[in-house]
Amino acid sequence: MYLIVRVIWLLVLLFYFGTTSALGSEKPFSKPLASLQSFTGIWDMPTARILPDWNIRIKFGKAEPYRYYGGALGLFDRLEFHGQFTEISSLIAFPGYDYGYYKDRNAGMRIVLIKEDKAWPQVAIGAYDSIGTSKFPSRYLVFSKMISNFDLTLGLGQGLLGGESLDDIERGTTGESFDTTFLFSDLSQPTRVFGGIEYHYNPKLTFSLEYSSLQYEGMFGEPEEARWPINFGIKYQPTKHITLQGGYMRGREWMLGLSADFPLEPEGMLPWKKEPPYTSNEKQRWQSYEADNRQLASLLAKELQSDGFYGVEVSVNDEAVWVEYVNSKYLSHSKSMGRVSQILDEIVPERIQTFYINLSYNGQIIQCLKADRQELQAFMETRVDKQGFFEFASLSLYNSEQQAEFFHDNPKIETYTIQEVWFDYDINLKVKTFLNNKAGFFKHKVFLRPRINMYPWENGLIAGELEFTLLNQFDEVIFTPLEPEPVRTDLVLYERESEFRISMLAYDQHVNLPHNILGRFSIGLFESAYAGFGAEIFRFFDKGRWGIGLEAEFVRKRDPEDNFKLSDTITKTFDTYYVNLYGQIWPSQGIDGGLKIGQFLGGDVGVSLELRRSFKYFTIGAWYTKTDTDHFTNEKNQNASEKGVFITFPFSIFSDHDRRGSLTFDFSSFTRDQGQTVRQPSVLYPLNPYQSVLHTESTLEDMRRQ
Amino acid sequence: MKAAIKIFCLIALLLAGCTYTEVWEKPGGNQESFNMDSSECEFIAQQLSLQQSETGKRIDPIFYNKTYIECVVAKGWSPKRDTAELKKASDAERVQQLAESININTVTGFGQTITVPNIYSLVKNKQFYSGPTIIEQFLWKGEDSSFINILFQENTGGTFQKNSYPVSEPYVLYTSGIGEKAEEQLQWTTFWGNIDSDWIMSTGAYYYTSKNKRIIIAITKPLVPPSGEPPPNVTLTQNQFMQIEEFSNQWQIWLNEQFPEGPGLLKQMIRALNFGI
Repeated sequence: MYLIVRVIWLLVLLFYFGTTSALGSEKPFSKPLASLQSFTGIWDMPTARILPDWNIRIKFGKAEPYRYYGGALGLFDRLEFHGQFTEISSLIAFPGYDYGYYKDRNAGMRIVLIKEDKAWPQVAIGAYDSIGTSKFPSRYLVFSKMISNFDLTLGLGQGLLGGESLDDIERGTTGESFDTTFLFSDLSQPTRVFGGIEYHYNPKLTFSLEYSSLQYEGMFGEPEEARWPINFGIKYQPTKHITLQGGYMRGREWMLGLSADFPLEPEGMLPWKKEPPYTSNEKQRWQSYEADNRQLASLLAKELQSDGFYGVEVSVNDEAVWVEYVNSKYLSHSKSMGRVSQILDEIVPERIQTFYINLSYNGQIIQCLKADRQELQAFMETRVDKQGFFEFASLSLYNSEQQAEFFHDNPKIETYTIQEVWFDYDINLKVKTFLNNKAGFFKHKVFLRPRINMYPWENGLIAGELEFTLLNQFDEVIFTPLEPEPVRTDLVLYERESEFRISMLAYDQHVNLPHNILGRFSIGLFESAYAGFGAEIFRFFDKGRWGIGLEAEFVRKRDPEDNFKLSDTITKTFDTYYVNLYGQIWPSQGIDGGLKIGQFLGGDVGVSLELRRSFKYFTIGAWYTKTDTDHFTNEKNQNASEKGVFITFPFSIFSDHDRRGSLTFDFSSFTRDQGQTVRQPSVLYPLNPYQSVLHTESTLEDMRRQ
Repeated sequence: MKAAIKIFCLIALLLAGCTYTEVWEKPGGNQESFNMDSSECEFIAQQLSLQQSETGKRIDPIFYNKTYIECVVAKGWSPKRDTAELKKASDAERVQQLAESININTVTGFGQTITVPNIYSLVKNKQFYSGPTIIEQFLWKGEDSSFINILFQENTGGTFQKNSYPVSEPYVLYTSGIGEKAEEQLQWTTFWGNIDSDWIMSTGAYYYTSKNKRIIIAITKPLVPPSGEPPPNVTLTQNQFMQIEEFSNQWQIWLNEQFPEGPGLLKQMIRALNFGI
């Protein structure tokens, strides 16, 4: 076995010393192809390659007894996170139930320490399944080097990759613990060499061969002992983003794989059509010429509305124009400001020389751009750069100063507000999932969720939402409440019925409080399980770089069957109190985070940390909630820590043009009563950095994308 | 006669907006020369399509095809017509009737009935092919030297993109909009032009009855010459502005009366449907 490794490494050295002189100044290239599992690698062995920044992979692979369903994410061209369910066809998880084969969750990470260059290989370290139940624990150091079309890999592994059997590895064994026994154990563990070669025959076809350091018969699921430690096969890319894999593993099993790798870009399946630049027509120019301030305000407001903006209010005096609007058109707020300024510039007469462009959100101004018309023109026509533009313009959080400046003692101001529609609606197709239940691995409920929003007066909202079930498997889920007065573990009670359910019927009011503090209160049915009262205040500081808020809810359990009745069996009030802290940690990379500190729904006091990256209008993040659980009666709740990951993707990936709107899919740990919150009709505590002045400043060039 | 020529120019403009694929031929051309021209055109079409896209990263296949075809045609290639098509072209007079005149002022077709004002009289009704589309044309002349041209157009080779009524040189946009009730199904534009010292104004409209059928309407009338200088930032003089404004309003009202149907409730609900997980 070791002879094979030596042969491989000898080949590596020969290739290396034989070709480095011939490489000259050519930049090495590499392809981060998926292994049979979700991580980048050869088959079972990792390489030092990783997915490029903000690229994701969805992966299926199969070599009996293992079937892998997973994904991976590349970050900053330095990190790769990967996770998967491993189904083991040699083990039945719960005999007598419909769950089927055993399924293990595991995750891992790889860090590139040194990037490849002409002389040196790429060097990475990584680990997988090193916390929790740790059925497949490994850690490794690996080197990869491109030589001509050959990508050569050599590594040192420990844990399973070190050739140990699972029983010999010291590790934690409970699924809900954050045990790092193996991950941080000393380096004197048994170590083995692994390696392999990937030959890129052409851009679509790759031949891959590896020497595996795994002792298969000692792994979880106990596959047969390998006839030889070599795995080989081909990877074929019929299209840019799809890879098909096939080969032979361990000298015993055929394998198959399918991988979809793609960048997270807001322009998705369809190419975006370019929106024509705004040009005024002869009629508008004539109307503008003849208009007084009021007529001009009306003309501008109507034009902004017909261009697709909501909540438009325009005020005009003899020298300046004031616009408030909601960006209902573009993902980028900067782009929306560019469009608004272009419309103003095309229509308003020469006497108007100052523009105040106010971006509004939930009835509150969140950003105000004040610019001289000529400077704005110069910036839009790229005659002035961003720094030059800000010499004469200002972009500020909130707008009290500008408001005082524009409206103070000016009798010639005329204002026109577009009469808003008093209601709107949408319909969402939703899927709720319950994973890893004894009754079946993937139990789900599919329903249509129509929502009507009514706006009775300024900043007021009445939200009504129904759930019409199309398919329901929650009635099969085996999951009993963990507490006498459960917070969340009674979810089956609320989801098992297929009758229509009012999932929200609430009044929500936003208010502008003194000192630029945003406020909100809500009352009504908040979700299928809770009804009550909620209130929140929040204020941003330092161009939106950080913020602080307070939040509280007082809710009661709803009756699971009667839409308009509170529960008779659980009559207590669940109170929550939080301090919300928000901060942009690394603004240029879209890294921000939030801390929710206080009392959660189950009366447990603690903290919830959320870290996320919002980049190119996708957000990927994770949260971890640790609270004092002593008062829970069930051991599972006492040991629980709420955690999960989520992805938010923009609707625009399904569209042929830039558009707003997004969807979030989250994946959390086992349902427990610890660390729970209640849904509200709207929130002030920010969910992404896009609303901040800091973000608009950094993307100001988007204003020119017209 | 002059007005008729200008109307012909308008028709050429308004028939644009549909695409189809062809086998190409050129006198003296062979496969090798076509391959060379085609490769060059593919490259040009690719570059222009990238420029045309919002982000410059993806290619819009419709724009790519259009640009490619324009390029190949500019290099002297023309679509090869098969026998059946040639026969169709020669039998233009026997084209299937798309619409009919019920009486002197009313036509019906594609499920729509259009009534023109009494001062107009029908001067022409004919059918013809234009590219992959069949057209039935009705032309009325008014007592005030204006014309109403109504065309029923069916695309047998593809579907229409829901574009607004186009305006291009030598015409200039005055204003445009969509139907009051018909919404995006009816797209109208008012424009004017100054050609050989003659001023002309027109309101044109597309009404989309289905993916491959549309009704095209163009109302054309002489515009008074300018009196004096126009104010800053505008082109028309006061007297011209007043006349075209009245003309535009008058025909907007008429168009909205002719096409009172909007998108149905089902269509509106589909528009509101989002898909989420």
